[in-house]
Amino acid sequence: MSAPMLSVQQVSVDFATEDGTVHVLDGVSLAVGRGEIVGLVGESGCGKSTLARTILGVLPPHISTVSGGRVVFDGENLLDMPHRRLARDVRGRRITLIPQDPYQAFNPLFTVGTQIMDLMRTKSPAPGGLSGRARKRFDRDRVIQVLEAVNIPSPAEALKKLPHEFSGGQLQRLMIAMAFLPNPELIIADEPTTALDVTIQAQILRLLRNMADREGVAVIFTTHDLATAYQLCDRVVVMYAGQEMEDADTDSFFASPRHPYTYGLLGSIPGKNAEVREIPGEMANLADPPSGCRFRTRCARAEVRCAEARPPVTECAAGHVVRCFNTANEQVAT
Amino acid sequence: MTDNPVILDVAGLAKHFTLRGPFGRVRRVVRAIDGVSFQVRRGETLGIVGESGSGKSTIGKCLVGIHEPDAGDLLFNDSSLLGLARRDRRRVARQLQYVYQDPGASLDPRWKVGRLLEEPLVIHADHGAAERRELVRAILGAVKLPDAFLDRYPHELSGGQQRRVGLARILTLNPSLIILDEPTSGLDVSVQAAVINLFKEMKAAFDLTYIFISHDLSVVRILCDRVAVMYAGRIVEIGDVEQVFEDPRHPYTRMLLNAVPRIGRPGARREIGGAGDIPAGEEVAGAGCPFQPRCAERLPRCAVDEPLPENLADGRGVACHAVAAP
Amino acid sequence: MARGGLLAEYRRAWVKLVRDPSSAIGMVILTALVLSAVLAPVLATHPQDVWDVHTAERLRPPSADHYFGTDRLGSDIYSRILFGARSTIFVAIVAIVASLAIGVPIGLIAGWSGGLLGNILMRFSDIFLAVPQIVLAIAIAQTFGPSIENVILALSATYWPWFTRLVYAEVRSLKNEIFIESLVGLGASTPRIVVLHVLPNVMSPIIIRSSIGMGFTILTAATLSFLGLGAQPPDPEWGRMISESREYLPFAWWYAAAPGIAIFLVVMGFNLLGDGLRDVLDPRLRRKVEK
Repeated sequence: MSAPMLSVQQVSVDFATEDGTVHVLDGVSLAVGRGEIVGLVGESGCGKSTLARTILGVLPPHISTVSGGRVVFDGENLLDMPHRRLARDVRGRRITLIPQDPYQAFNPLFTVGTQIMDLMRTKSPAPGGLSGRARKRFDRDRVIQVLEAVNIPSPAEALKKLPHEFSGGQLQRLMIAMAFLPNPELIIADEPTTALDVTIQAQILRLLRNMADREGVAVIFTTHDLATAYQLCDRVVVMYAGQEMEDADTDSFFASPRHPYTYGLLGSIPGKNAEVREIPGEMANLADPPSGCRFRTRCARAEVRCAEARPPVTECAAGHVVRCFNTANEQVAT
Repeated sequence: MTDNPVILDVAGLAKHFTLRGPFGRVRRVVRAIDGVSFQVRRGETLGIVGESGSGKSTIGKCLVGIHEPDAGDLLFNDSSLLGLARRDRRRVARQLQYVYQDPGASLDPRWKVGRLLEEPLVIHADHGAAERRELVRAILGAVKLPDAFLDRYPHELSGGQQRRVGLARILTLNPSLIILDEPTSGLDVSVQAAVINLFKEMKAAFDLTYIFISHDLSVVRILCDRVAVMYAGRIVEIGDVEQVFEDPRHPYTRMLLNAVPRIGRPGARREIGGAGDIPAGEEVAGAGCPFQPRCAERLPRCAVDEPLPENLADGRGVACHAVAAP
Repeated sequence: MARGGLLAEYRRAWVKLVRDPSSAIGMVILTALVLSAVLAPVLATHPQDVWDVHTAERLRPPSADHYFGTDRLGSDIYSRILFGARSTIFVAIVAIVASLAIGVPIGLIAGWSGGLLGNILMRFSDIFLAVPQIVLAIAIAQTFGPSIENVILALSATYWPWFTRLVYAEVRSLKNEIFIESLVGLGASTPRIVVLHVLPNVMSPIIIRSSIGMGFTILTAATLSFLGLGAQPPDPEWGRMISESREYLPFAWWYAAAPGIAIFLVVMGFNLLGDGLRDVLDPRLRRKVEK
């Protein structure tokens, strides 16, 4: 891969809570290439949403601190960028978001059209010189064109409707359309299909894939479902307790997973007839994480050195990195 | 298992909800479930799957009396559950329990575990105090929690432990049929695996029969013996899990199974499942098959004539003209 | 990390309450109020002045002998204020307890049963809310004659609907909680659910409301006495004392100031405590803080 469009380098984020400082992200790195769909997979509390928010620059104020690292987007460190500029030029324009819950993303009092046109006016670049009516007409044409692309039936009519007149699946299509409208370079999709039924989920995933391919947009897709990542993504990054544990292109990831946590996740997916195996123990306490490897307390292969030192992030095959001492791990039968 | 006695017989169950506008004007009648029939045999696990709005939860709620069905009958151990006096209903209710999506949420946050576990026995008042305490200890041991937990409050336990206590609370009544309503939805896979295994353990230890309501086909597959697939308030296909999952016959079952994301063999071509783009599922009122607007295999008669479940040669039931037609 | 049930929760709340400056001030004021009421005969410099009249010493400004000065009959205001704390506490506690006794059960029943019965009960309580307290109190005083007891009657009759509304709303939302719904599924009887499960879970808002209600009740009671509808002379009631002082205000500022400040402090004390209680007990606020 040539120079990545977005590279997250050793990012650490702390939250101040009643229980003390919680290290929500601890030295996370990952890279997203142009037009690539990267699946950020992990269980609740693993830090995937925090990472998404860090990239967007919308961490909860006052309680969160970025204690280290860089988020380099198109050669610039977003963490250093003044907030005003980040809000004006990057967020919602060059990097957009597809939220998990489309019902909460729309204001119920205004028509969908009003809200989308508003977004166009503030975030979408118009060809030079257009203003007033002409600008409006241009925006409208583009909106209708994108709504057609996401299979919203009769887009002109749809714009006049209020959010509650749409089904969950349709609203999520609208959210996808809105994410693509400003011609972004990167879209962050935060579990966009979790609330949807499987048949609708399949449609949304296919739509996202097609749109990303068509417009050449990169996507960071967070999910807790490895199978969804398998179907949709070009790369898969597995996170646990605020660290990336394994990062590989999808084929290599599923053909030869290396990290014990990845085995654990794969083993707990209900398969055809196999028993499901649970991962013993509970998610590490981030206020007081285990010494050394954060996963070792739940790891069947933990050794003495796992408690003594932090395992290095090693490239065990081309483009396949794993945060584990034992990089020669064999895949266990699933 | 097919020789075991039928513990629950559901015949022609229907529940309609009337949506009223202002001044009590009837706006729309939603047929949440309509003509649902199935049997559950002792010791088996029947899965009921469907997407949101398919009516699967309504069935569970009719069974435990949260909803009163509009038509049909529910026979539990050969006696009807409908039209019972409050007291009789309560007696039967001991045998037939409902487990909420998160059994841990069924615990009063202000009560200690010991008192919570004892409560069902107090309510049904059929043991002495000493005997009750003995029973509570035994049950707590059965769900693999130490006695020390008796003095803890629910929020002092982890999510998994809360779930065990919630389940233990129901088991104190020694029920024979348990309805599990979406117990794995919203869980992370590793937690989900623990929950599935817990249900399996409990089933073996307490000789239980389950009705497992879920939208997650992969979980149904590993937990259930038989499965009923629901669409728009009707059972469209019902049969052994292996039959239905390996060789789905109803077009909707096929579509549903196809849409489940699955990890393929190494080297397999990765693609997103599901049939091509399906028209949004507008539920049509009136005659005809409810699935027909989304169906790729519809016949002319599907629009006018609603297909009824018919038993195929392999014992499963399918409600589809295209399947039944020779 | 939260720990423990009702009792432990209140113990934890207590610790937080003491650490919170404004509620600590509230508690200091209220402790002082209770102490003055209990120890009035000991603390008072002229305990007999509650009844006694010394016309020669009327309207003396504050001095070493009379800390807060004397009133129009020459009685020591400081001593009268101390004894006045008794009736203040008495009125507040009795009125609030009576309101609780009427309002909470009605709220529980209305909230739990809902439907027609719930509606009837709530509309019934609305009737009482619709009548302004002062107007009702005047009516009661007109009918039964002015006295402290009738002030309490008027206050209770108008304050209980607030508890009803509060409990009603809490019960409605609790009813949807899974642990309540599951009790129905277990076959628990309604009294059991309502008394053993619902009531303990609405205790916190009731306590908060009671504290704020006390301050409010004291203020209204003072108003009623000021209007001559409450305590009768020579009862050392604060509102009455202000009322008596009106004519002398231009040249005897201390006469009105002492009871006025006393009322102000006590009402503020209850409000500060109520706000503090809300911060530590109200689960909605707490959830926000934890997030």
